[in-house]
Amino acid sequence: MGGWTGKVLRVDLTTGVISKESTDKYKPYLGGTGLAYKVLWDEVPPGTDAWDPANRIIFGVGPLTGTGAPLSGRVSVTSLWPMHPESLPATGHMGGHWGPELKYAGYDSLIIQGKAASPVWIYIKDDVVEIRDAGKMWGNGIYRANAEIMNIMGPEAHVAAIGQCGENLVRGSNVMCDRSHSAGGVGSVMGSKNLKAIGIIGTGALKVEASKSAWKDLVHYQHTILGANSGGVVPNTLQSWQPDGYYGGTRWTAAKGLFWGAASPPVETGDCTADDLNSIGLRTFKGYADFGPGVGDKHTVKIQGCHGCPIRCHIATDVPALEQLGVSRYQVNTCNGNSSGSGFTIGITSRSENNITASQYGVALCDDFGWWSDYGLAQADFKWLAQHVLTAEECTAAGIDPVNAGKTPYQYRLTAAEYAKLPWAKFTGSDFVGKMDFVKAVMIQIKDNRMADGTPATWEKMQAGQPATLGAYIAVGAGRLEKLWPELAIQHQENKATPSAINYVKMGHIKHHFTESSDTVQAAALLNMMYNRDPMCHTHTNYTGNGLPLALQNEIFNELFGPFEGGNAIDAELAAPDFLPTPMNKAKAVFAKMCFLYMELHNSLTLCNYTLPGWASPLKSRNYRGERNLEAMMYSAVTGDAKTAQQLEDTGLRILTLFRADTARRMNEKDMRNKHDLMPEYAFHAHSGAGTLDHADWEVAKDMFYEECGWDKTTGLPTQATYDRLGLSDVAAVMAGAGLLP
Amino acid sequence: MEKEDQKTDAAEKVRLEYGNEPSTVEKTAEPTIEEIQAKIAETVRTAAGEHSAMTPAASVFALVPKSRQETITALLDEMAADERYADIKALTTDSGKVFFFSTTYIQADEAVAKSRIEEAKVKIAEKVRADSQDRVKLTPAGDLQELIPETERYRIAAILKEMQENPATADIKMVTASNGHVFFYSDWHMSNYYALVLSRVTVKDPCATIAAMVRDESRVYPRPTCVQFFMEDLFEIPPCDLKAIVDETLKKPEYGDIKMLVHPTTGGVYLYSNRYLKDHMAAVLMDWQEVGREANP
Repeated sequence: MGGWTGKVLRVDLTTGVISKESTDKYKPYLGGTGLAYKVLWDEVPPGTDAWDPANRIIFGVGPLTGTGAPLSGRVSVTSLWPMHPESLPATGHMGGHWGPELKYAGYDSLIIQGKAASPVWIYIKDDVVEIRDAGKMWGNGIYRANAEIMNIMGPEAHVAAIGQCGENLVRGSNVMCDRSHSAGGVGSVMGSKNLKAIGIIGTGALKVEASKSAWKDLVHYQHTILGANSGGVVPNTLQSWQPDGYYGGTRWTAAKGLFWGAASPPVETGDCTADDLNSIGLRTFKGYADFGPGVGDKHTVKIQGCHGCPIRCHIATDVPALEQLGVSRYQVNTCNGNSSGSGFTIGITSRSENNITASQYGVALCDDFGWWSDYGLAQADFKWLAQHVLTAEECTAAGIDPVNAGKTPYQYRLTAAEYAKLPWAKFTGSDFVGKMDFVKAVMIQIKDNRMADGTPATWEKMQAGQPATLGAYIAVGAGRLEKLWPELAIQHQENKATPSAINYVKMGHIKHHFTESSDTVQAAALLNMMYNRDPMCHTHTNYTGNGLPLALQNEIFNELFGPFEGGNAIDAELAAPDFLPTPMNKAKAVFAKMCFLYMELHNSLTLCNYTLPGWASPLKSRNYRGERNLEAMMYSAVTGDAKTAQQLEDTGLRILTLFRADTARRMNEKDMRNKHDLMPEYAFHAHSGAGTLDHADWEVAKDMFYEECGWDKTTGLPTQATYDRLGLSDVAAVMAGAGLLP
Repeated sequence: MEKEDQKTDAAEKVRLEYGNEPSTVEKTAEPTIEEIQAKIAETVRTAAGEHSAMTPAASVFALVPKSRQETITALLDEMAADERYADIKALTTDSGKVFFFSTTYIQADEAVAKSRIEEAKVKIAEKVRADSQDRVKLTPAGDLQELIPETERYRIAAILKEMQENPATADIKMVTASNGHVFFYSDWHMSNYYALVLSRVTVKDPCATIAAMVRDESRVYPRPTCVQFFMEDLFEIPPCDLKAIVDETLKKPEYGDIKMLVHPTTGGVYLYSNRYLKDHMAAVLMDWQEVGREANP
């Protein structure tokens, strides 16, 4: 079969044994997250902690990775999740070129287990795989690790590394490759294994079963379907060339007169018409979109991207003012990565020179330390803990002595000495350089992750009441910190003053494209209830954010997956006065299911869920119809295993169902419906800026979704029949043995 | 640490190996000289026979593949000497433009008169297309009169009607502004909606333009419209005047459906039409546009 190399690489850091095994048993799960779920299910017993040597960290790539299939540069890094209070499985995702290089080296994924006796890094050059000493790199940041390894392997090596955050077991730490591509949340798993980095050079080739011309035609076809990052298929501003005058709400921000201003010479993005495939890479001018006119365009050098990606979404900037702050003026990142450090400041005007300077200063620190922003939850919690003045009632409710009313949680919770270690006057002051000093001070405390006595911070010491630094309380993660400091629930659950500012969902994780996407309230809620971290799903928002009129979006979806009776998938409006969406219906259930399945497929094949699905296209000649079969066509052409969209969707359901079973088994929980699939109460409170869930309708939503998946409505667990249909009878047997079969 | 010898040249790596089965997509073979000549004759005859029209040289040249562009003169010379194409003739106007016609349908003296009309059509098409593509502007009807001053106004209307009926020039479209002024554009380079928006702007009634745009957005997508949208150059509203114009729009009874919202935290100002968008939905969608989208990257 094409696509797969046929071998999975395994490195046991405890024994030093390096082995290669057949990919065959993983092929029903494709690769990426699917393969990793299978590894965790087969090899890591329930009760294992994320930092236990028995835990695996799986760098998963799939049959499409490295083939040049558009958007196929992704890697899924799956493990038991350190941020989750119960170490349930989850995945971080990174792009770049590291994943394709792993394929060219000859491997369909990399499984790492055990724990090295001292710091090591893994050298991979094709068949040569070695565990090497990382003693000189340990204690240094990601930039240094990259430089050291590339000095050894050569400039064409691709390196995935952790920084001091991962080493020091900061739960919100990442693995970073190719300068700006990070897999969030899993850095400390590498740290717990004394693994600093993985360097790869692959000189092999991948087999594409289709002929060269057929493959070229298919890739060209996919290019014609693609729009911009986040699924946009129309330009963001009114453009003369768009045939129907459609515009708005997308990241297709290129326009005549709009330049990558810091390029030399400046590059005009120009008219990136839908049929001009040579300008696809100019369409998504994310520097302009994120940092604003007159700032983002001025400082953008170019928009970078991953292997095989025509879209490009990473903003390479040149901000000379950074040199005054002691870091490089050249930085790269995108989306939340650009606020991972600056999120610890207040009072900086958005879309200003100071804003981009603060953002890129934060990038310089965070991408070296290997800090993961947790999609902004850590920063939101930090600001609340630093600024919210507790009332007597809140103190009483949280079990705090009311004498502390009038203080902020940090003022009450930190020792006076620890509180005084941070320059709070600079946090609240107006001096910009002072604000950056404060960011640096916080970031250093986070990456050091120490108790107040200078020893390494641990959850056990915190639970025992030993004082820690402010940074260590951030490093422990929101879920655990709420257990330690109950008043944090005010921010997480009850912030009635500004409910739209709440971003916590449950079990230590943040919402991600939740009910504030008012057109898909129930589907977004279902996505946010399912995973053991934020869902990292963009299927729904990529489709509803494509810029087409809502009526057309529903029309296309109904053509692809309908017909439906009883209402549309995407809502035109929420009912007044409570912002209730139209009641749950069949179309919404199918929409939610497809969003899940395509995300699992993208993360397993691997393809980019930050742009796909391609259900709509920018082409008037196709009446804006996209291609449901896109993933299946790519898979079939590469592997030679001909599959229809529906067959591949079943594979997606197999992957999701295995994940579901593994989560239930680790929780030893039969009532997943009520014990895992939780919603924060604020999601049921009406407020502007978001749709509102109705308790009864939410139960219907779960019923209909479980039914679509072939899961039992009472427990939310997959049924024997579903396991059997999906080829998971062995999983069913284990679940039955554990009393977890409905 | 030791430095290893690295000789791998990434540029020389073979990354993919392919299967052998042929492509399912059939490649189109390049036409022969004979086929090109036949196509030219067919095009010229069809224009003459069905539309009583001359064929501009550019339309003929477009039938010749890029790889054979250098042989056009020889190719046409061959046709002139070929009995099968004896009816295909060329005519050069005083201004140097070349047209082809078929004597089967158009006599030589008639062709001279027609060539003047065809020349006018070419000038009109070139002007309108250039305005639409390069300047992103509408072409006022008066500009066409200046372009061909020797042609009477009523003849221009007839010429434009003929252009509409000929597929080669059917891209030239007309839009009439609310004050009755007529403009032209090429829908090869400008959408009908964009032309409509530009025609609204030509009336120089920014209140009407704002109301129309807001109603469109509220009806089509639906969504409220951020007032900053009207700072785009195409609306020709000086930024310093925008607030006053918006205030004036909101006061006019004919725009009573246009309502304003101010975002409570950002201060962003939005307009919507309550004819198409309910008040609370306008607020929800404003919040998404103003803060929700940025908070959910």
